[in-house]
Amino acid sequence: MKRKTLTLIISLALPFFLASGCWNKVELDQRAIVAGFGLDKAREEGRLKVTVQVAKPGEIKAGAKSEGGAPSAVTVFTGTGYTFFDGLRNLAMVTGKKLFLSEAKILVVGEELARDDIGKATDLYERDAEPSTRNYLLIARGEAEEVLETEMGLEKIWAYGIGNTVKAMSAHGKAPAIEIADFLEAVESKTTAPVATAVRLVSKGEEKGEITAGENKARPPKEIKVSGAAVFRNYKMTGWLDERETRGLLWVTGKIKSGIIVVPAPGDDSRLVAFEIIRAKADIKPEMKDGNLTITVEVEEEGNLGEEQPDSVDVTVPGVLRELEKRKKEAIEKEILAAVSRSRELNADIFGFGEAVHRKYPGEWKQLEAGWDEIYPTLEVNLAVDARIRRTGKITKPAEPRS
Amino acid sequence: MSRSIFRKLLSMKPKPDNKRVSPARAVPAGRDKLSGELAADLDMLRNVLGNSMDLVIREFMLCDTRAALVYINGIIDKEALRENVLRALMVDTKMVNTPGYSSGNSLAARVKENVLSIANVKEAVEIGSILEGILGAGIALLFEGDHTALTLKLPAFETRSVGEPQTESVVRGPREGFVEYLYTNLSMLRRKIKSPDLRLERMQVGRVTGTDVCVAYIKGIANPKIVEEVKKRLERIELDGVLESGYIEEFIEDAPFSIFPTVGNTEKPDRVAAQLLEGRVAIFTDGTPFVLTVPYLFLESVQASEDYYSRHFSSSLFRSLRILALILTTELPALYVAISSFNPEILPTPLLLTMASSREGVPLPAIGEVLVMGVIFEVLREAGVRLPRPVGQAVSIVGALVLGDAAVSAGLVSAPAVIVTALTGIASFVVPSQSDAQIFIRFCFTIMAGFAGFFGLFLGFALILIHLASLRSYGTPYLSPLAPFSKGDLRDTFTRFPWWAMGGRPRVIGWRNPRRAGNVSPPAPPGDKRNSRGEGDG
Repeated sequence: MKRKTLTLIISLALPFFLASGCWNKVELDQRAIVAGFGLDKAREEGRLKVTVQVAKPGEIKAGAKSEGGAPSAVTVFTGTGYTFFDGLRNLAMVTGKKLFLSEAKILVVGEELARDDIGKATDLYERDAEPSTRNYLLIARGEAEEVLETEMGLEKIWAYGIGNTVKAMSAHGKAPAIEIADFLEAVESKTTAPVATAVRLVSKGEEKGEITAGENKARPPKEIKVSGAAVFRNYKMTGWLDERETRGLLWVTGKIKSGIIVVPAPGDDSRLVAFEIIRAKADIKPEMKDGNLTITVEVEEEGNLGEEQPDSVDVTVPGVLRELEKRKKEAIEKEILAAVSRSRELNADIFGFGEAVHRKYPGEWKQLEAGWDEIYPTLEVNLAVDARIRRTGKITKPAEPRS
Repeated sequence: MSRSIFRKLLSMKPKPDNKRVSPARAVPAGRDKLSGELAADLDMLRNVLGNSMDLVIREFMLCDTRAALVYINGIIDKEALRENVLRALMVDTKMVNTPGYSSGNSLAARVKENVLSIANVKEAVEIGSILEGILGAGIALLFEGDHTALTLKLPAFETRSVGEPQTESVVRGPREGFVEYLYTNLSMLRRKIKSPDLRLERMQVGRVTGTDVCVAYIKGIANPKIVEEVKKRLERIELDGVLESGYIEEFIEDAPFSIFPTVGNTEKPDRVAAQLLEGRVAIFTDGTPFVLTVPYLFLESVQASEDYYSRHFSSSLFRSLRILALILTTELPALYVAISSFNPEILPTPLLLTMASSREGVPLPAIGEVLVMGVIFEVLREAGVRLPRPVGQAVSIVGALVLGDAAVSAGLVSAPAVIVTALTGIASFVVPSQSDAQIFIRFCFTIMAGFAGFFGLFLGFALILIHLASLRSYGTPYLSPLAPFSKGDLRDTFTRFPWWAMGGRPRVIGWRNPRRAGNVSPPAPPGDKRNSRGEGDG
């Protein structure tokens, strides 16, 4: 009996040590930590160009400088493959280490590929265990490779810098923060049009304008700018939203957390007043009356008077705050309307109106669903914006010059 | 596996002689009683004791009878011998003339009743019991023509004075610790428990050493079955010598092949008293300050006696810390290996990058680093324990500077591995009673994590948990009150409730007498209705 127990224990223990064979074991120093992915159409037909930005942990503390003087601890590798996965594996021929995909923060997709089929980029994220669907999805005006090769602000690992910027911009309301999981959720909906964060390169020092990256290609140095959004129909990109339209979209979807609203001062249009958004809430209310569908978008916003250009407003005068609230309300409405009209142009239900109707009128929805593409561009959208000013800052009046 | 190897080794040894060596065994057959002839009996004793150099035989006249004192020099109280024995026998007997003195039974009985002003006097007929008396720090008194001798217990030898225990020092609480002398230890216990129910039962273990062992329990609280079992197991011990309670522990523990101790030990009288009050049984061994307590539960290792003296908030907090330390010291190196070699994605990015940067250029894989550093730490620790104190400093310098700092800056090991080892080492001192088990578990987990990552680590964890759940200490499940679960006992498990909220004795041990307090309620201001002892606790 004793011998039996011994044999049993050994026969149970041995396979653990022999058969496991250090299964899946890769030492940390043998891994190339990918900070961000880029995916473009390759020049060869039917192939994809995969770009990875790999962190160099040894140089994070060392304070190495790139040529431009910005700190850098990354190397960018580019290769091609028939698919995303194939391309990543082909990259191992260049990197010499096993690519480690879990710590990446962003996936940048080039415009050309996005307009063709972004599903080529997202399936690997869902299927494979390593990459995280919490990565931000960015669509580059131009090539994703260029974005990943451009240095980014103060962050030594540029892709993380882009990720941080996306996060910061969403608090600003000028670009949505869309994770791949969010994007795929929108794809699954029959009516909602997915959106993704837009990113582009601008020449340094250049004023922000409507310049596409393609025009700037020859003029370095450039910097990365995250702003606006890309609109999709299913897996195909159909158009862009600018900053204003993007904020309109975010007002409706209730994603605005903070940001600045600038309006002209009452009584003096040359001077401006800026409000800080403190709190915002949105509700989409579909209404069916006699077969006519109307959508009411209710937005409740609270903000502070953050800045005025002296001496344009006197908050102590009765009625001034009411007037300011009215102007703020109009500014918000304008932004939302801009987004609505742009989405009608693209015939893309970026707000999820269809889903709201589905929730409220599940019975009628069955007929509406099939013809939603025809209904949407002519859908009546009403706005009910409630904008409030809560505080006016530490002072009531700016410093007054003595005359 | 180890069990059968042990068995094999044991079976190769010759069968030990199982008969108990009592001093009587040295006496030639047929002559085991006093002959009544003083010279012959003294010769007999002298022979049996091999004419030992510390044997003293003093012959004298008791009135008109020849008598002799036999004792061993150095272990008896000479002052008392002179004043209370010799003087009484040689001088006082000539002056007293009590009526009963000249009549009565034997001379020995008369002397015992009338002359000796010594408390512990026994009559002895057999040579064996006389020898036992002499060897147990006593004096034998033999009389010419009498078949009865007297043995007087007069122990006085050099003992260490009561001091603060080295292994269990406290900030708040009694600072006295047990010493090597059994009766001093028992006196310390008696001083704490002034109850007639405190039972101290003497046993002798060790065929040659004849070591005194005392089983202590409180009648009415301790489970009589456990007391019986303890005594039965003690009686089964057949060993030449018992020099420390560790000898006994290995004979009476429930799981001799487990790395976990199922018998507790302490050198603090207050802890023993508390254990007895909870219904446990203590085993005192002469010659060592370490007292064994049974049943011993796993969670006792995270309970310090100080928990019950300091305020309950901090006690509860520190208990949780000790559990955390126990987990850290067993699992941290394995976690480090599993994370850095298998699943680095669970780390936050900045931490991962820092770890990756310090791993760059390190020649050993993570498991190698941790194992090598772990072994070095254990070597240093062991060296620190054994070395004389002045040399200890050199060890710590070598350890801290050479092995820690220099190894990192030379790139032999990565800084995280050193931090992991250091943290593991420090945490292992937090729960000292499980320190042996900790080392085994730590290395096993590390190796398993090195082979199969988190899968290996959790496999190991599950195995240990199954093993712990299978253990029992004197019929009490080792993991209780967690498994089997006992809600009431949880008050004194991870937390320590205030004393007024712990009216019940731990159910798994003290169920025979479940209440240790009457109706208890928190202290309240005078006149408060809570003072009316209305409500109890659950």
